[in-house]
Amino acid sequence: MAQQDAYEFTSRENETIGKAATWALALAGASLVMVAVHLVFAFMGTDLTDLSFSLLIFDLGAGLVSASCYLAAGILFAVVGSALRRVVHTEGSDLQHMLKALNTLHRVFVVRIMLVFVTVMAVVAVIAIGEGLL
Amino acid sequence: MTQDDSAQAGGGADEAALSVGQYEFNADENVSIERAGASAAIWAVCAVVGAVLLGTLAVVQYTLDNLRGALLVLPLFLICAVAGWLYLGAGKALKEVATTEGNDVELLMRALQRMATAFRNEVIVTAATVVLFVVLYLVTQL
Repeated sequence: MAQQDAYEFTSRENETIGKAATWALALAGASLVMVAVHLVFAFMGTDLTDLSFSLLIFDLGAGLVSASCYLAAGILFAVVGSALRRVVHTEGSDLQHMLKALNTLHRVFVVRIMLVFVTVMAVVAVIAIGEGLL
Repeated sequence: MTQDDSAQAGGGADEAALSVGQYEFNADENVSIERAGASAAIWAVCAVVGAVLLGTLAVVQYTLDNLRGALLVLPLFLICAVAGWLYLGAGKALKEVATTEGNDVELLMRALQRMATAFRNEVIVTAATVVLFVVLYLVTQL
């Protein structure tokens, strides 16, 4: 028997895993709401009559990048939540589902860390443009 | 004896324990767990750095006699600090799963419990943020 099928989580453990699954799915929903919020603010906050290309890129670009990162995080959180749900509801491959959830969780954090770096770079770029360095 | 039976047998020994199951993850599984723990810890550091920056901003606002500005920044500081603390704990527990022996399932459950709390807090904060955005938008339009 493969080792990944050698352990079945107990009902108490399933309770903890189930809670994590529920909140991961809720966070997926919240991330998708934030996609809509960022898109709305990106288009409403952009002065389309301003012909300055760099300003248009920054106004619209920042919103679109944030929305894309939230979309990716939302989809990945949904995958994490469903994998954890499968750990609770299925038998025979609990560890496989758990490892899939953990691998996806790693990707979620990588996406978020990337968003932080993109934000920092954007702030630096805006300051540099404001100071006339670019 | 099934896993549930063994859980009941050991349940009275330590009520705070989330698991009494015994399983030792293999090397491949440990790699996945450690990677998730490492990225959770890095994300926690980002949140803590954000909290430090926001805390500094709040102090600066206060010293500039802008109490309103300091109060506005304070909730964001608390959110970042709590998220950083929760994800740091989850990341540490996941790393311990990979680096220790004999308590893997319990540590995994502790990590998932902290992660669930962090997720719940994020959902609440996101909902509050969306409501705040809408209220601010409506107020500024009037």
